[in-house]
Amino acid sequence: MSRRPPALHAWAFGVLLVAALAVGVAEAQPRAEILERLGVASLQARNYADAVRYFREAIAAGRDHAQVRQSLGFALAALDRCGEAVDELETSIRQRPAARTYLYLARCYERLKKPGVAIYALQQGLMRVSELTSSEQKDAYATLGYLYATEGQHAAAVDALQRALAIGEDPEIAVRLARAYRLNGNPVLARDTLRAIAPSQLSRASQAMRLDELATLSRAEGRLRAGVEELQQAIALEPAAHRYYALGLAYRELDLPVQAVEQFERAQALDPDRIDYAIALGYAYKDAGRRRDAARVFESVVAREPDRFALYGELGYLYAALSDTPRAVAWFRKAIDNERGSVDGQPGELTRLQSEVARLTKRFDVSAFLTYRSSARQPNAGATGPLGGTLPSQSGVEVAYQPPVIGFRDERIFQVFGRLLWNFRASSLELDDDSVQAGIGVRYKPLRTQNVFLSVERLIAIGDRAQNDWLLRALYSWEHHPGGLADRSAWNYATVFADAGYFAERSVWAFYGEAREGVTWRPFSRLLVTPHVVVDARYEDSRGPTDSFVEGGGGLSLRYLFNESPYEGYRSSAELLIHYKAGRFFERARSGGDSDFNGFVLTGILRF
Amino acid sequence: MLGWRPFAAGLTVAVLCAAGLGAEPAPPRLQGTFLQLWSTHGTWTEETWLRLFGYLERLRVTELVVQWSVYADIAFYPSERHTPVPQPPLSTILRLAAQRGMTVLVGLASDPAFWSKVTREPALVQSYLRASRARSEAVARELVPLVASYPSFQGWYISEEIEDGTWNDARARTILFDHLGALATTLHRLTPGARIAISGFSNAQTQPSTFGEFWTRLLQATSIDVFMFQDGIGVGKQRLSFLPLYLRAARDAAGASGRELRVIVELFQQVGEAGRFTAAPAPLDRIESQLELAGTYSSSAGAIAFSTPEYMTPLGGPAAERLYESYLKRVLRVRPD
Repeated sequence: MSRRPPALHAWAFGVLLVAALAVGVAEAQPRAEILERLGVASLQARNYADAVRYFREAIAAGRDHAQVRQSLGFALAALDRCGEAVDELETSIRQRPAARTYLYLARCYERLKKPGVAIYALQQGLMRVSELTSSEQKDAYATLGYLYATEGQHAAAVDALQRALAIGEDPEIAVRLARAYRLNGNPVLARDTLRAIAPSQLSRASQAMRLDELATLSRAEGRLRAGVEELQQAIALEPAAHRYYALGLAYRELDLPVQAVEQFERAQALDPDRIDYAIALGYAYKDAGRRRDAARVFESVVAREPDRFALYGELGYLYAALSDTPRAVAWFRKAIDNERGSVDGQPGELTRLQSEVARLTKRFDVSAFLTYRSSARQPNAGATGPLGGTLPSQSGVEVAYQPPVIGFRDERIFQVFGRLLWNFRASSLELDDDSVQAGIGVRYKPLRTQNVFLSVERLIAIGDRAQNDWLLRALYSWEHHPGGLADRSAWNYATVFADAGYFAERSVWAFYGEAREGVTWRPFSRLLVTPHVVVDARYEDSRGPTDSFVEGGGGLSLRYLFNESPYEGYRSSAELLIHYKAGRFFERARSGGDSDFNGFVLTGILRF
Repeated sequence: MLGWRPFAAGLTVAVLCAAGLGAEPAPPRLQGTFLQLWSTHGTWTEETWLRLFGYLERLRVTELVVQWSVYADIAFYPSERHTPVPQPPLSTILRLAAQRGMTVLVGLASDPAFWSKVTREPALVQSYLRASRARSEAVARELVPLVASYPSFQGWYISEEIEDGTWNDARARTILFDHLGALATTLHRLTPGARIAISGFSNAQTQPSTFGEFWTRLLQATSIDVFMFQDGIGVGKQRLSFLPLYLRAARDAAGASGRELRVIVELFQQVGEAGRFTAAPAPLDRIESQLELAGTYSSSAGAIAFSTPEYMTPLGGPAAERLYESYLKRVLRVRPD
């Protein structure tokens, strides 16, 4: 916008105008000079529009030299017409390079969002640094420092800003220098520089920026509380989305999810386009236990950017935790589709996702086992802890049913099961009819993270030596699960199983425990070969001759996986366990009989 | 006494020298052009292609760069992985080019979402570029049997364009170099002897020396043979005043890496509102200035146009036809038909 010349210039302006008109027709050169002077007067009066007009007329009248082009460029830049200004300034430089012209040119290119050329122009201008006043020099070095910083040239930024400060103190530049120090890997100098600045000498924006810098340094030093305070002060001075976001991150690191949520919500409200703010908010909701909100935010993120693949799995877990099994399965399936289509999937991720779908969609679980012991002296218990455990048997079949809705809720599992157990006659595979035992019951996994099942089972005697009783059980199992199961050729194999049972009618306690340690090798995707050592023990109150024992040995597990589905992976397996075990019965040792035993134990397990 | 023979010989030499000195040197000219394929090219008849190649011959274009063979999911060759246009034109282009002694660099897969995808967090960019590379490699594998049968096939053009502002971050830069290095290695393995080209431009976001260092490192980290620098004049990324700074940096980068620099001259000027690309043929005066600069900094003579069919042949409309005729007359000094 043009301004009227101030009163001081009005008289001179009028004289020049009359003179210009007087000589206009007769002599072009004096007219051009007068037009140039009018331009200069308008420039001094900050009447840039008139200045532009007069300078252009002067040039058209033949007064074309470096100074007039420089002045015209300056006036155009003042009118925010940088696109035209650079033409004039570049023409001026071609006619006579001057430091000041380069300085104006740099400012214009900076405004035209061409920082690379602005840097070049400043470098050229500073080669003629003696032409500039100290104030201009300082300004040139400071601008160069900022531009280097935006280009990521932090060492150059430090150098330029130091040069600016060497010309004269300036707390605003010092804040930028501190930032450049930090980004250049010198946090000590950064902090010292920031501490030396009196905040009262800074603009409000720079005060907030100083606090931002201090907060960043504090966070890097692990002083999270101090960082939070500094960010809070910065926000009090000048609220901004990036500050709320930084504060949210700090609260997350301090494990204060509710406070983190509050800050991320503010950040997102101020800048809803920032997808990283939305993602941070989603995770903060999750941390704060607001799973539904987390799911809502993540769903909006993947709707905007469908290749945020990590969030598909997150959504699956969130809906699983919300006991919304259909949605959980749908998101896990999408995650599996993404994983299959991805060229850089994480090792084992596909298997992990498939196992989640398998767990969520499971209805029936059928297991059968069959054990052969080579010596009649060995205990009757099979080598399949979870299937036998406190109720010793060599073979059996179990069917478990996981009802919809209540069967799987946030990692809590409820099942109804029935089983049939039996033994073989000594050193043979001939069914011992008297040993046949049936059972029907329910079991529940009450804890999310620990694999603990509590069960109530009615035992029904079918054989003469079987029992009718109520069996109350608590089972615990743990298995080392390497993340990269699908793609690793070998991994550590470790399992622990513990089983405590109470036969209510007989008032008898029984305990069983088993541990295995070995290495699993996967020669191809369907076969797992696990050489391992095993130790197990059983104790029962009734103290029959073979009820309580301890045994150990080594062996091999060969497990073949089959019945693969795209979303659930291998749903079935057949396993052959070959053990050689030696052990001792507690009661026989006490009664003076031969308590030791040893021999082969072969077990086949079918899981379907 | 001088005999008449030496005199006649001397006179002849003098006349020839005078003629030589008096003749103006040939102005820099376009040697190649990009072909940017769209769905409409899938409906072009043989006759239309013949017309285009006729114009290209008149313009003395000898090198073609097919910008992409797959755009989004549209394939311009008979593809099993992507959806081909009704009459895939790539074979026709290679055949007609071979008949005229032209060479063709065949572009790979181009994703319209490329620019929005590469400005995100490095982990996402890495994932995106891996997928993008897999796509381009698959396209190249599909194309090998087709291109191998044409002598005009010169090599591959990597359709991803590299600019200076996006790759400032050191991690992003490493990801980009790894991506291009792996892609170039695969392409060389698929077609030994083929040349691999990529184009880049500067938004003047970095100073010329930084731009040059970036390209030196990129070229040294990969086996890309040709760096095509887009002059950016048509879209206002560069101005003629400072373009030489970036051209010099590009030339030095190519020289330091032992690679070839070609300059892409934009034949259009962007018009209309920002954000919605519309363009018209540029004035010939401006193009001549661009050609002058391109000639000064290219490793070999002759610039590559972007792009002749739309902006400098009668197929592009009346304004493009006028530019075509002016170019023939003023630059090539031939009479239009």
